Amino acid sequence: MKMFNIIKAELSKYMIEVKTYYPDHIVNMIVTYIFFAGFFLEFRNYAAVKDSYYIGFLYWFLAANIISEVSVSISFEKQVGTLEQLLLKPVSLEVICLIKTLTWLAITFIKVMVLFIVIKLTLPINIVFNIKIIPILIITLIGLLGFSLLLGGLTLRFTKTASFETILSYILLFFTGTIIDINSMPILFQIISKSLPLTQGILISQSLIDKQPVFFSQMFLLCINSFLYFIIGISFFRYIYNKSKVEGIWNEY
Amino acid sequence: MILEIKELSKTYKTNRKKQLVLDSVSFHVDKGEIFSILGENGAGKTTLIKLMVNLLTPSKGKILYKNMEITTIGKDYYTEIGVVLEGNRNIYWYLSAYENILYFGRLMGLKEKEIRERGEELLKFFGLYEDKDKKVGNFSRGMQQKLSIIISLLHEPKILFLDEPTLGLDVVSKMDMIEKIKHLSKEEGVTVIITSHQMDVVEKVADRVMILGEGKIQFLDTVDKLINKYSGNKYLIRVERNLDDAEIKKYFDTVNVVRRENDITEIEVYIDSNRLINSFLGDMVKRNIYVTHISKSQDSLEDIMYKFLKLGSDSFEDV
Ligand SMILES: Nc1ncnc2c1ncn2[C@@H]1O[C@H](COP(=O)(O)OP(=O)(O)OP(=O)(O)O)[C@@H](O)[C@H]1O
Ligand SMILES: [Mg+2]
Repeated sequence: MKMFNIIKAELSKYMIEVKTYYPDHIVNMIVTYIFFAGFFLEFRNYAAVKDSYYIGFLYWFLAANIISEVSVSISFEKQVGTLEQLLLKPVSLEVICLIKTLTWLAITFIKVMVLFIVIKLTLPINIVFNIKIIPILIITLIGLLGFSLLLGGLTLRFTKTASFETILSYILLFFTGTIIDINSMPILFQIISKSLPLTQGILISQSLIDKQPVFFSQMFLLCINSFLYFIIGISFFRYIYNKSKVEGIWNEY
Repeated sequence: MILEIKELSKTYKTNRKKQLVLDSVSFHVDKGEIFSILGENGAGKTTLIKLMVNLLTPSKGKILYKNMEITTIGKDYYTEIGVVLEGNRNIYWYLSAYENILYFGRLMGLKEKEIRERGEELLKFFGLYEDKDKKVGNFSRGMQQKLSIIISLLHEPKILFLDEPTLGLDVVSKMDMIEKIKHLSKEEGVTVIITSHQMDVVEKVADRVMILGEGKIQFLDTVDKLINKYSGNKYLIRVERNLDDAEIKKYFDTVNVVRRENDITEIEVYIDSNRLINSFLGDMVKRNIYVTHISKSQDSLEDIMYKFLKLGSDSFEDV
């Protein structure tokens, strides 16, 4: 019941934001369309590319949108000075942040779906989808939420972490198999790559689309990976939160 | 007793420097009273409020709400208290008043109907009902402050914490705010803990005042006691006789002769004991000297605070 209240609070506040700043959202949609269209048109020219080429990119797009959401919210609340009011509510800050992120994710997801339909209608390309990707996506997202909380913890402490997040989103783009094949990387990078929150999810989803077998060990790795990221994220966030309560730094400009 | 503070200390550590802001302070707040925390800039008023609302962790000591440590109560504590912190940034400026109410009410876990009913009631009480659909960014400082308080009252808290609620308000808004705060405490039984630098506000609302200084409690009692204790009662007396200094000195130590002309003497005296006044008046009557004027005036709370902060409480002992 309480959760439902918070979701409602965030959703309707978000809708007001969309209404207030609608030109920003229109621009954002157009940029995303160009981004996706460019990507699809570019890859369509290579006959060797598999049907699954796009899925890594889709994962990355969702990830890039949500990993920074907790930090962006916290940084915003810190700057306008309302963060302390959120701390003074009977729900914990990480729950509020997670719900903010999920709300944002749901809206991003709808945006992406709309874009995909528009792309399919306006461009001569073929998108292959497999419904089994949905659960894989959800498990991957849990890990990403943990990652998001981890970054949120940093923002709680340091306020300005936006540039750091941009670097991270590029790391995710290059090292998770989104555009570069992991198996052609040096072994050290392969290890780093496979422990990032996105990689396993992308690999499994690619196999699903290309109708290749998915091994139990892969699923196991994905679940462990996501679970660990989630636990680490929450613990780190809690740790910074308690430290901030000792030092008293909630609002900083 | 609704809130009890036991040997509370807070030390801030910044760049390896330590600053002891509160040094083992103990006091309690009674249910339904308006408790005012005073002290100069940096005395630790905001720090104390943040400790009492569990936004800060004490270095030492305990805070008990209804005999339970607030850290064990956890997040449920926030259904019992309402907090408006320093400044006017407790609300979202890009939302309207009513949208703010809805958002924060939902975060409090209140039902839609409760939020609507209580919200409208409070908007009317604070005179903001007409403006409820305006963006808060366009509100005056006073209106923003009122909205912050409305939001902190949505869930009918038992204690309301207000950190400088009248800062930057004009005289009318200030008086209005004073009245509203009194109403909440006296009619609705809300305990109010308030900090302010405006002595006229404190004088009008506070049941008890606590003065913080150098990390310690310098004074804690009612406003009347503070004034009586430190104001040094000042009397203005006019008699129809030319009294010389020696005669006056028989009765009073600290005298200031204001005027002496045409058989009239006007004197200003500072005394703590009414006995001296009585013996003076008694003798005047015996000697058939007319006393045409006698009035008592007190220092304002503002004067007292000024002396208190400037000179320290010790200097009052000599008065
Ligand atoms: N987060 C913090 N880190 C380090 N020092 C702090 C912090 N917050 C406050 N202080 C210091 O603690 C002291 C008390 O500050 P506080 O804000 O509690 O005073 P105050 O009585 O509310 O002052 P004012 O009347 O200006 O509002 C000040 O010297 C301040 O510099
Ligand atoms: Mg303060």
